[in-house]
Amino acid sequence: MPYEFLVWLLAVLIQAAVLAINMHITLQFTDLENDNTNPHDAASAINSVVLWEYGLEGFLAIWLILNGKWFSALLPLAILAFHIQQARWILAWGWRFGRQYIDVTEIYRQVKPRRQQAVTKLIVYLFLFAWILYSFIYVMLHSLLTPAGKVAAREILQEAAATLH
Amino acid sequence: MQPSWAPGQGYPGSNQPAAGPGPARPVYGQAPGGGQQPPNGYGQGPAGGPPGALQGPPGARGPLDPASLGLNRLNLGNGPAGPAPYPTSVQYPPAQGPPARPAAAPQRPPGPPPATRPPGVPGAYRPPGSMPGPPSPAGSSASSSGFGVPGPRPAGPPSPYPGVHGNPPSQAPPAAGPGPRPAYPGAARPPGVQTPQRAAAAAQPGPPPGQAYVRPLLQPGQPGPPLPAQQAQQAGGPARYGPPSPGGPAPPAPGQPAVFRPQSGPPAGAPGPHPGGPTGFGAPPPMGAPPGPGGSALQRPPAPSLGSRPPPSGGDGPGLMGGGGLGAPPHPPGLSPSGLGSVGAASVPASEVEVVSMPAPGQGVQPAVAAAGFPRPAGPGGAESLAPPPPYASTNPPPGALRFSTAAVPASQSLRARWHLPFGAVLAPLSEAGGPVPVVDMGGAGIIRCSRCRTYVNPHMAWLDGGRSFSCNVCGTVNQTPVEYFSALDGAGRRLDLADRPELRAGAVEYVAPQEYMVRAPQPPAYVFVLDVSFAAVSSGLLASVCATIRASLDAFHGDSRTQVAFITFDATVHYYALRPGAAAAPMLVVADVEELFVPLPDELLGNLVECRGAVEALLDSLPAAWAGATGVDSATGPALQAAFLVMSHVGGKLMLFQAAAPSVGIGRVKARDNPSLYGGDREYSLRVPDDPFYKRFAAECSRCHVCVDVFAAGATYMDLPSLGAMPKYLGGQLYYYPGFSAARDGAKLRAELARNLSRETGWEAVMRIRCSKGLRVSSFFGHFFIRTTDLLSLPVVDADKAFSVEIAHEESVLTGQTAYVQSALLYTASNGERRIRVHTAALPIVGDLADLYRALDAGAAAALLAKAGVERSLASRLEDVRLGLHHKALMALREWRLLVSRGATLGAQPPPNAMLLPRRGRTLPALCMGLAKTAALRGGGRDVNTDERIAVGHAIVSGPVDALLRLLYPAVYAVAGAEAGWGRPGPDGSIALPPTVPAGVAYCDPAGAYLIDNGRLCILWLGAALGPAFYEQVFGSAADAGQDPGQLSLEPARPGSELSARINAVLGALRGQRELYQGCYVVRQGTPMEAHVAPYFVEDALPSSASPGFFEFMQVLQKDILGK
Repeated sequence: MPYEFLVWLLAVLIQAAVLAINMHITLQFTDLENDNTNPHDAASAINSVVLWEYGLEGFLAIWLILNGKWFSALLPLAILAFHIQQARWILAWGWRFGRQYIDVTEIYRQVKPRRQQAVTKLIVYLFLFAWILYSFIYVMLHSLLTPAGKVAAREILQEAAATLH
Repeated sequence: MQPSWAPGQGYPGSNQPAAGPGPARPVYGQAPGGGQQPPNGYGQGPAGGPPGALQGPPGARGPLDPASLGLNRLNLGNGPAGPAPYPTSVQYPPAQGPPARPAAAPQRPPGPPPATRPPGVPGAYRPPGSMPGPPSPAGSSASSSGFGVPGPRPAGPPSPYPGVHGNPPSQAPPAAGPGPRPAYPGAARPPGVQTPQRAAAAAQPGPPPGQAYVRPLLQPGQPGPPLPAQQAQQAGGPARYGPPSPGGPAPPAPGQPAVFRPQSGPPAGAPGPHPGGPTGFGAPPPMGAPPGPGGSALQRPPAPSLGSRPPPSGGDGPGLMGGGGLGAPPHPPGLSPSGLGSVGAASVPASEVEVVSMPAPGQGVQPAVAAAGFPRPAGPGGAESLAPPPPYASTNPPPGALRFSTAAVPASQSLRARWHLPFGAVLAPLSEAGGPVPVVDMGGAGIIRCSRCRTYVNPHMAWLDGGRSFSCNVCGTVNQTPVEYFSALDGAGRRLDLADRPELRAGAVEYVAPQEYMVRAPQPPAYVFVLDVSFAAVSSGLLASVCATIRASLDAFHGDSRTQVAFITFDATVHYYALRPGAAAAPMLVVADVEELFVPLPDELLGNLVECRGAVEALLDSLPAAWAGATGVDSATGPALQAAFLVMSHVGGKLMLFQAAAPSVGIGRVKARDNPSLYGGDREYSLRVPDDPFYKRFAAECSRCHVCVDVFAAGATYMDLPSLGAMPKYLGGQLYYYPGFSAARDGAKLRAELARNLSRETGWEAVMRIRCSKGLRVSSFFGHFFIRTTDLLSLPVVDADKAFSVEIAHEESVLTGQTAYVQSALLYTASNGERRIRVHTAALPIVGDLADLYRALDAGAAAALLAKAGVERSLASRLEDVRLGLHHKALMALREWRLLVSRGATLGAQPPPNAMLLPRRGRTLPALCMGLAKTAALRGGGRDVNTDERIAVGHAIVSGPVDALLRLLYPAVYAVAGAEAGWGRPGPDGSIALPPTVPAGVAYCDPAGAYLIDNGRLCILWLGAALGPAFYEQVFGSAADAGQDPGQLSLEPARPGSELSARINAVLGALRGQRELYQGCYVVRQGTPMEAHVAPYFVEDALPSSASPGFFEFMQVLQKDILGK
């Protein structure tokens, strides 16, 4: 397997994980709004994964940059900047005071904007995931397009075309 | 469907007047005769069918009947009622003796002539002369020296506070003079055609206090069927928020005083032909209307549904029907006050406008003199200006338990947007001021609730199908009545067992909760005392005072023989005390490692108070001595809290922390972070929120386990109350603050407050939910609680001194129906171990007119909500922004009012162009807003008030009931030098008469007088510089004289042989009363350095140190902003 292929494979996996975490958080907020869960459980469920989300997204940005995918890294970098801004108290106030954490005593005052934020992020993540997936497939196809690969591809296409009839 | 229902079937849609300003809305004020017209034509229904039609076959109406959607009608009958043996759902104030009121209204106490009504009755009318508002010529002589002389100012009506008259008479609107004002607010208004919106109603004065009243129905045969034309006119009109005229047959003529508004008081007998001024706050909703058998009240013409009994003679007959809309006397077109207007345009009678003339700047007037005429919650009429409006339905809970910022609901979001004041309620569920609450044990039937929205059964539910089902007043769902709860209905649709069902007769009721309301068996009340035994606590006497108080209160603990107690002390380590039944001493167990806490002997730390009484007493006796030589200065508060939590987490209960220094060891230690230089910056708020997340997390854990934390903070230096205060804030607790505690000075305060804390009514393991009618929702909560789901408050402990506030928002752009309901349910374990549910149900009219909202304004509750929201906001933004926000709210509200008045004003002569126009009920709002900006919670910047004090006052504001709060916003200044009036002596009912108050400004205080200032947290005896020696001798004893340092003086205890001293002490005792906080009393003399400490309590004076304006400058700025667009 070419290295290029591995770069994108890892990116896809990371982005899929981030997406899953984000969906989990969004669901928690939605549940909370609909009284399907209690603030204690929701807050601990969110707080236990939020750092993973931040870390993975940050790693993705660095990974893409390290591998020279400057264009693809733009969006992850923007997200990383946003996350740093969210957690900007880390340096001044210690870990526990980042805004990324949910304060269980204030959760109901925050639930609406937080859910909005989570949904917005979900959209951004989806877009990013689609882009990474596209890049991944593009690279994969290119790696397939060796002489032998061309033959294989042609056969695949012909069979696909044949089934259309 | 019975023909007689026909008019109702179209509801909710068809009955809206097509051209109306909106959906049918009750509007305050009804024509005495005309208002009774049911807005939707209901009134005509009965007329169309024989009486029997009302009692159609039970099955005739399906649950889907449109009329059964829970939409009650307003305006029902106003004929004289038949005998109503019990007050049913809605009670109206008795008519104020409308001339034509049929004598046959047995139920209605003939309202005493308003003039004789005592002015002080909240919500009652004030005699004409007592109106403080409008300037009167008599007052123009206000001396330029300020009205220093606290001369005899009878609190009584006739002599308004001199300052009130400071305005030149010429500026008084003619109609507003305190003299015989037009009896009717609408009197000044040109007669016009009665439009639906304007249909005037005669207001009726409230009933004598304590007396139930029912709106009578028209008896058959009584005169006064409305003219058909009028019916037509009114049929489509919105319901009025105002009781229909008292006597159906009452001729339109007699000017009925507008009801319920203080200013409307004068009985006016003035036969002013204003049958209906827009007025009456207090129209009856048809709630609770018990439907006739076979028919729901909802469908029945509103008249009967009022809950009034049918006329004795007529049964369901014509009387019923006539009583309502039909009985209304026709309005002679020429007389009906309508006019002005077009739908939607408010017409504001002159009597509802308080015109405050603003002396132009630069006239060289002393601010105090210029401000003398401003309305304020002091002086004669001051108390009434803060009173809530009369209840819309007589079943509404008393104001001590539930107050609304405005006792009406805006009909639409657009109207709500024009109401710039808060719209919400302040609820004190266990308050003693709420009066006794009937306890109901439903037995086998279980607690009856709506199956869909879970609303508890209440007086406003409509009974259908002969009692087999009932319609929820909140969501409109039709529920089946459980067999055990079934009761047949009488001819008027009321349940026959109404007299035995307190839950159907009272808006405040307490259920005994069955098993399904318990998650676990009720736990015994548990108290865990966590005592600081560091050097600071011991040397200041805190430890000794606390131990002595607890020892003395052992018999007052709740829970009888089930109470459990535990004691934990801490300095740099944590010490437990084992309480073994029968033991004579409590051995101490020390846990030296505060990082890895464990609980030794977990079963013996929490002991039953009765079994371990000996050990507890021995422990409390020995603790002060055992720690007398303490030298440790560290304070392991966090670990001690964790230890206490481990001890009590299985039962929940009350954790009482006594803390004498900032936490310095272990988890939760705080930094000295009070940094005034942060003020004005973006990070300013961080000074007011917890630093260490431990406290919030601990609060969350405690909330899960039903542990409440009360904090008694007694530090001499910065203690980080923002952090410590986070625990009470989320746990239903209380933060007590004794800056620089010393046992000699603050001991009495601590003892009184701790004793009150231990002995007041307390509920455990509580949750509270507040439900609103469809279209409304609770948007935010203020108070000490943890929000567990969007509308469920978790309260580990709830007690008599706690109030919870909500703001209510509109979920739908337009509300349907005419009455909205708010129901709060507090589920708690009483101290006797019984699970109880305390339910408060209030009915509010839905109004489509902005003027009606102002008419129902409760200035006290509105100011309280502003204060709570302001303090809450100060936790996330700069104080400066909070103050600006408050100013903006007051400004917008008053500007909107000015607009309203200028559109529909009937002020007679035009007020001076620069006069400030205030709504009558909200005339003290500017003073209260100014006071709010000057409370310690919001005043100044970093150097004016230390952060701990700010937080302590902020907690008191957020969790306090309205009355306590108002005292804080505008301290009462009692003139106690003169012994002329009867103050200071017990009245006939045993209560102490309070001296007259003066405005809270030094300029209004006589230098030769003495004043007792009470701001709810402390009392100050302010002595004028020129006070004669006789006063000193009488009050402080023979040894005292004017030259002595007043700081050394104490007016307690009462000096023997001195009547003045006894009376002042009696007043002091009355002020302390049953309050959460005990006001220590300090003596300050004018002209001494100590006076600077009193300056903030004179809220009307400018406070240069914090750049707070005086009252006059404040009003000038406000007025300028109101006039400027």
